Formats: sequence, C-alpha cells, structure tokens
Amino acid sequence: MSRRISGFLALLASLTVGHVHAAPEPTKPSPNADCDRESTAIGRSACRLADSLSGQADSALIVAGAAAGDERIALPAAISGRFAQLVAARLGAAAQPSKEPLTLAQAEHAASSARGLIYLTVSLYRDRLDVSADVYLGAGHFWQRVKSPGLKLKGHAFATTALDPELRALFPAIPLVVSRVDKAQTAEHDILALACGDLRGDGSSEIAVVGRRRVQVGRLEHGRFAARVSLNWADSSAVAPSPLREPIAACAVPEPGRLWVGSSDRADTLDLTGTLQVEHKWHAVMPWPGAGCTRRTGLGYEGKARACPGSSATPEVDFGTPVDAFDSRALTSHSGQLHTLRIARAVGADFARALDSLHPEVIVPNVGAQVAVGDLDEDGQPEIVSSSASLDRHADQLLVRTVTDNGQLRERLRVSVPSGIDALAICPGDGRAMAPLALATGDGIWLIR
Amino acid sequence: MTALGRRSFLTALSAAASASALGRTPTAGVLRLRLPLYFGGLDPHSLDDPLSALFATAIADPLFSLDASGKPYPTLASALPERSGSGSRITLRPELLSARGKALSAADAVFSLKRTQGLGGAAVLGAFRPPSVEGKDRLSIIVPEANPETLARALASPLTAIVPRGFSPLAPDGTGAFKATFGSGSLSLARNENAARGAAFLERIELGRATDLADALRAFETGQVDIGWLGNGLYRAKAGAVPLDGPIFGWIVLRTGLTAKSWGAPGIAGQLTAALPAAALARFGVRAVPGAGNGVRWGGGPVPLLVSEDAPHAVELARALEPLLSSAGNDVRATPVPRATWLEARRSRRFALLLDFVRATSSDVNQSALALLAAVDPALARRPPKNLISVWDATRTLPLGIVGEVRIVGVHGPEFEALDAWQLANVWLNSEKR
Repeated sequence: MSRRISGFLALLASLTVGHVHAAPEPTKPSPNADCDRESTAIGRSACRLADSLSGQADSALIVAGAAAGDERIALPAAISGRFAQLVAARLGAAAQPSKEPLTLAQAEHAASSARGLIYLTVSLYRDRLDVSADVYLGAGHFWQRVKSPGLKLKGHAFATTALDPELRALFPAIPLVVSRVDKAQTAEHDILALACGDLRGDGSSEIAVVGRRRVQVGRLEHGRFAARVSLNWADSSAVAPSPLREPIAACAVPEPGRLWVGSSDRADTLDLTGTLQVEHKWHAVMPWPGAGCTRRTGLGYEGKARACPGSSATPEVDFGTPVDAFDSRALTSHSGQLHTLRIARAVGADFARALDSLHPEVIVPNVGAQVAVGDLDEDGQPEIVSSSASLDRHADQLLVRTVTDNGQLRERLRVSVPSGIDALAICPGDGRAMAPLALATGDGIWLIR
Repeated sequence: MTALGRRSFLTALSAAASASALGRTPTAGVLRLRLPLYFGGLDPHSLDDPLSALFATAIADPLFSLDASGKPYPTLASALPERSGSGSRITLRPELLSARGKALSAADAVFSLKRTQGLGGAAVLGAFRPPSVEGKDRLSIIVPEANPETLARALASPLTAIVPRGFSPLAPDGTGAFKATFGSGSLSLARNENAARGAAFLERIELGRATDLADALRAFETGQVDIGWLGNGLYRAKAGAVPLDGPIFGWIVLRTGLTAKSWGAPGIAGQLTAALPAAALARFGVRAVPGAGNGVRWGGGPVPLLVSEDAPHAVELARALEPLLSSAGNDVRATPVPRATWLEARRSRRFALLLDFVRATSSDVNQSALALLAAVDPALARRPPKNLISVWDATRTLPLGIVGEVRIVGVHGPEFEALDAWQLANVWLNSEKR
C-alpha cells in the first residue's frame, strides 16, 4: 500500500471514528421514570431507594423496621418484610433480605461486617409512605475490621410516595358525613373567594378571605373570624378597566406561606406572602387554583389555564369556552396514580365540566357560581363541591359529589344553606375526618367538618 | 387616591350584585320597547331630549356618582378631586375604553366637560371655569378655582358624562354598559364589554319608534315588545304583566314666548299649567307636580301651541292640552311643526306657546330647579334662587310652566327583573318566570 493510500485510509478511519463519537449515545431511561412504572407504592419506593443505594452495599443484609408514622395503625410485618425483599431484589442477587422486621440493634447484630447492612425505616402516613435507608459498612480489610470492629454509617437515602389502595386499606375509612358546623361572624359582607391552607408556612391551616375591599387571613375563634393580617385592595391594585357587574374572584395557596388573589374588580392579581406583603403583581390575569392563571374574556375568564407570569410551567388545560367558576387539584387516584382534576363552568351554564387524565369528561349538573375539587375522604376518588345553580339565595345548597373510578357522579352530601353560598374552599384534612369545607355565606363564614 | 373613593366605587358596583349569589345573574336576553319619541340621536349632554333622558345613562358615565347618602364617589375618575393650587385636579382611571374601542384620556374629559357646558351641563357646571389637561399628564385635568367637593357633586350629574372626542349623537359612544347603534327609526343598545362599570346583564335592548301612542301600546298587547308605558291605562290587561313603577325622567313644560305679548310674562306659564286637571294627563304617563297654586286659563287670543312633529308623544299630549288650556275666544291649537322650525322658534322665542321637555337628572329639588332654569337660560343656573321648596318655586319667575312630570310607569313582562329602578345595566332576564 502506498504511503498516499495508507494516509487516505487513516484519514477516512479518523473521520469515521469521529463521526461515531459525534453521534449521541442512546438515552438511558432515568431511574425514576422506571420506578414510576411500578404498580404498587411499595414497589415505587423500593425502586427509588435501590437506585440511590446501588453500588454502595450490594451484598448487604437488608432489614426493614417500622418507625413512627400515623398513630392509628401499626405497619404489618409482612409489608416491611416485603419491602426489604424488593430492595434486595433491585440491588442484585448478592443482597440478602431479612424476612423479619428488626430493631437497628438487632439488625447490626445480625449483619456481618464484611457484607454490611442497609436498614430501612418505614413510616406510613395517611397520605404517603416515607422510607429512609441507612447504609452501614464495616472496615475494608480483615485487619482493619479487627482493629475497628462493628458497622459504621456510610450512606443515606430517602423516598416518599403516595399511597396505593393496598396501603390505604390499612387505614380506617373516613366517613363523608357532616359532624359539626361552626359559624363565625365577619365584618366582611361581600366575600368573593376563600382559600384554606398553610398560609403562614408553619404547617397549620388558616383561611384567606377575599372581599371586594380587602383580603384577610385568619382563623375562626369564639364565633368570629379573627384576622391575623389584612390588605386593602385599593392600596395594592387599581380598579380594573372594565370590571364585571357581578364580580368573580379566585385565590390559591400555591405553596405554604404564599397566597395568590385576583378579582375582576381589580386590574392586578397579587402574589402575596403569608403576611400579605405583595411579592408580585400580575396585570390582567386571574389565578386558577391548582392550574396556574387565566385571563379575562367577555363576561368571564378564558377556559384556558396556563402558567402564571414568572411561575413554573404547568400543563395547560383548555375548556374551549369562557368560564365563570373554576378550580383544579392534583390528586392521587384510587390506584395510586397522580392526576390533576380540573373543573370549570361555562358562562351562563348551570353545569360544570370536569377534566382529568383518568376519566372521560364528566358533566356535573346543578353547579352554581362556587366550585372546588378535592379528595374529602382521602379514598382516591375526588369530590366536587359546589353551590347549587339557584337564583334564589334561600334555596341555595352545598352539594358534594364523588367522581367514581368509572367516571360516574355519586351525590354524597347536600347541605341547605339558606343564607346563600358566596364562596367556598376545601381545607386540608387531618386524615381522621372529612376535610373541612369553608363557606362564605350571607351570615358569615361556616366551617363544615 | 382616597380610600373613601374606592370603597364607595365598590359599594356602587356591589349594588348591582344584589341578585347575584349562587348561580350568577344570567347574562342573556333582549328587552324590546317601542316608544313614541323623537329618535334623532342619543346625547348624554342633552337637556331636552326624552330619548336621551331615558337611555343616555346606559351608554355613558360621569366621572363621579353619588352614593345612597349623597356622597360623591369616583366612577371614571381614579379618586375624588384633589386640591391643586387654587383649583382641583381630577385623574381618570387608566386603560378606559369606549364602547367603540377608543382609549379615553384627559383630553376626552376636557372635550366632554366643555361640550356639556354649552349644552345641558350648563345646569350644573355654570359656576365652574372650563377645565384643561394638566401638563403632560395624559390622565389628569385641572378645573381652575374649583372647590373639590363642590366639583365632585357637580360632576356626578349624568349631564356631565364623559364621551370620546368627536362624539356624535347619531353614533353615540361612551363607557356605559351598552353600545348604541341607530338604525332607521330604531336604536339598538348592545352589551358593551368594555364598560367601565361593568357590562350589562342583558345582551341587548331593542328600541323602535312608535308612530303614536296606540302603536306603542298595540305592540305591547300583541307581545311584540316587553314594556307598555307612556299611555298607562290604554292597553288591555295582559296576562302575567307586572306593574312598572320607575323614576321621573323629566318634565313636560309649557313655554310662553314673545308672541304671547303680556301673556308671555314670567310666571304666566306656571299659572297656565297650574290650572290643568291632574287626572287629565295621567294616561300619557304625565303626573301633575304637587305644590302648584291657583291657575288661569289662556286669555291671549287664538294661538298655536308649537310642538315638534317628530315627537308623537308630545304631539298627542299637545292635542290633549288644547281644551284644557283654551278659554272662550282664546283657542289654543296644537300645531306640529318640523323640528328645525320648532328649534328656531324656541331659540328666538318667537312663539306664543310651545310644548317642550326638560330632563330630570336627580330627585333633588335644587338640582331640578337648576335644570329648569338652564332650560330657559343657562345664565340663570349660575345664580339659582335659594331656599326652594319645590320645583314650582323655581318656575314662578320663568316663562316656563310645568305641565307635569314624566315617569316611567306602565307594565312589563314578568321575566324582566330590576326594571323599576331603571338602571338598565342591572336589568336581567329571569327565564324561570317566562
């Protein structure tokens, strides 16, 4: 081969190699995406933990022990044993699961310094399964183990996942019944919207009251609404260029310690801290609780929810028609799937449409101007809470309907509210009873428990 | 910006929400009327046009309004007037759009106020100097030497409504709850989604011109329209119809002119109208004004009673007045004349008797007196008499007498709610009552 030919071949080879290097490597599916395909909550958690622990102690003894969680139930030994087995299976054939739940001291005694120990602490709560994993390893070589016996903490991992029916079934069912109605007077007589949640960022719930003149945050105390903090609309936003003759307002608690409020009376939606300091003003938009923001159109708002200005993107949803009542909530289904249920009522309609990824569209009849969605009894089947489509205040009713797994509506509660419902919100539940419902009525604020 | 203003503004808005609750007030429906009135334009600044008196408030708003206790609050203004130097500064709300999509600025406010000072607004703005745009602030105006509170009250009159520059009564425009469009003998008021104080609940109000009272009432009897009025008592009882008892929207007035010679002296017109029997005009929706003293019959010889021929209600009323005003040898004959002739006669005062209309913008006696004074001469409204007890007092020294007050009285279909207050933006269709 002449020098010229061999040089050409070398160049060709280098180009070919270069081309191969330039080509992207096949994308490896992210571990979490794999784990999300697991059909059980235990499987998902085990998968995530094993991914995190992989390579640290693949031949360790895997022991699961129960930790403090919901006080009403004890974690069955079978479940902790199964958890250990699933993690071990993910780590490889060398990993050795313990069938029995052990305390950490027992597990350290049972484990060998050479192979190590992975100790799983499983906490079961009403709404989630938390598992932390601690990796204990002995010293590397024989003489080192002799000089420094015992296991040392070398690694840690944590996974949390929503419950599936199997785990949810361990808890007593929450009855969807009204056991108490607390009524509180308020100085605000023109309440347009309510929100309920951790507005202070300290884990406790408060009620946000959006009126025509001001926004207040507080609690019901001794038959009165006691405002912790208040904000005058006039100090924070100009009057809207073309307000609605009958106002629409919305408020949302996007995260603990934060409140979004909007009103058709006002030009701006306010992004507020828990002390009602204005963080941002968003011109000409309205918060769509749980879904982002929407914009004015005609006598209502666009049926399309999109990310609020400067906020992280949310999946857009479009009802394709102007709406005047709307809500949205991320929920965990009966089968453990995460989904977002969105509901909206078209302007002029007396029914609402509910959309989510699990059911065909659900038509909800007899829906008034106030609507909210949530899982009041935490059974994985969402409830739609609404006022009734009556023009007579005295005939107004609170309606609670469940969307069943097959997309049917089942009426669960009907409470007469003769003073009329001006606003409503679903408060966070405590896992023991129905999530409380806050109503603004003609005679104050009701808290239905 | 004052808290009072914002609060009051919202109070006013919330007044509209009384029917709200629960299911929201339906935003649909068409209200149909046929009226025996002149359909030559819609002008919020007009003091003498019944059609404008009835419907101009639906298409344009003033800068301020008065709450139930009579205190002014801002409507198109962003706040109550502020003292600025020796005058008052008023700032418009930003981003206001007229029904036809024109952005409103201080220049439009100045245009409107100057325009109305030369028209019906003279009744309330006579004491104020012309406004001007404040420097480079495109939303602020200055009214020199004006007391802020007095100014706010004056600018709460619907006669001072803000309209865009280049306003034409034939293609009226404003920030009101409806957008007006004239057709041939008709006026359509369609919902204005740019409305500065909220779009109307009704989708539309369709107004047709009736050729006479009977035409208007037949239309109601046959179900072609939804309101029967200006002729209360002429129509047959219609199943399900409910009474309509609205506010006064003006006065039918009798003017005496130069041709009447000594009978044209100030105060005579008032004596002539005081003699009219109260019940005689009830079927025209005209009610005698209480407080009239003793009256006299016409004694100035045979004369025509001039009335504009394009105003069927006024023409029929003039005919009804013939026998009531006349005395032996002193016949008063209703004489419809072309509008231009009628207007020229009124301007030059070259007539003996002339039938006219004056718009009422308030139930307040002093405001009413100002309107009547301005109808005679805007200069009179600048120095109104004090301690008036009734509107009659205001006419004792005027060549103008009050035939009666014109009220919105009649019947309407039961499905239309909130008609009595005649705040047309708040009227809604209750389909459950159909």
